[in-house]
Amino acid sequence: FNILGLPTELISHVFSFLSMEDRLRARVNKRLDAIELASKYYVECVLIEEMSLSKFASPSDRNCVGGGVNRDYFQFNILGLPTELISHSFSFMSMEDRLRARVNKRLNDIELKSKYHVERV
Amino acid sequence: RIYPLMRVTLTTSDGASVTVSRQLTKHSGFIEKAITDMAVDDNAVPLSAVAVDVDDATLKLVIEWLTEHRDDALPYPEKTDEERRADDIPAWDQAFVQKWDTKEDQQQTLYAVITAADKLDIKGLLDMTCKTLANKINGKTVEEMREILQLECDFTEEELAEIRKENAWCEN
Repeated sequence: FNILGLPTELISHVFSFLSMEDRLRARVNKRLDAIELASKYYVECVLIEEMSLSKFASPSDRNCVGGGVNRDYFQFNILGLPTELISHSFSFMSMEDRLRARVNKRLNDIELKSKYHVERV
Repeated sequence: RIYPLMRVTLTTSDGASVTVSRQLTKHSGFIEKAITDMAVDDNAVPLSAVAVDVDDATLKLVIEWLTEHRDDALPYPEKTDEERRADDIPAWDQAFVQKWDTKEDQQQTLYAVITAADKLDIKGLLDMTCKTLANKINGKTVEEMREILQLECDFTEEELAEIRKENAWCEN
């Protein structure tokens, strides 16, 4: 089936009917990978277990550097999200965190174009 | 208001003409918009001609599906932030698609109907055909998916290794 002949929205629509495992496996080439990275997933529930990574990895393995840069043990490919979603996620952060979160050019550009709600100035 | 006795003539991309009831075309957002844009006089019930960018063979399949689904409720229920499942295709629709399985050009037919449903804005048919395609790749290995979708691997070794790492949790 010549799936690449379909427009991106239709490929994304087809993939929306796959399970999460199948969707991840379906990233068999660069275009499908990019489509998947920009897609939403519906999950009925997520179990998040808090645990310390310090037992398992050294600071360098954890990609953790000092100096106040906003990095953490949790890793997430935020640049795979479309700009609106990144901006939406950032809108739930405090102004200080949003300013610190400008850790690369794209995030800096997104933050510069974002609105802030402040209760009082 | 839809006048079920009103007939609409559809002209296909390969020059054929098919006349169908408005009761069927009401499920197509594209055709309904075209008729509305023509500012048709309801009382006159004219034979409106709408050009559709779909070939004759595909349009016949679309009309067959629309005939079966002529009484489906409108507007089509939109599902956004919900779980989507592909195992709920109605029995008639499954049999409709299985008829193509006997043809050598089954994949081309599925491709043509998906594209037609998208162009004509027939949401029910689009969902059904997309689910059919999803079912073809559901539960397959990466290699099987690549074969079904006829795709070359264009990742670098490093990118491929990264994807394998990301997928590790869902592989046996």
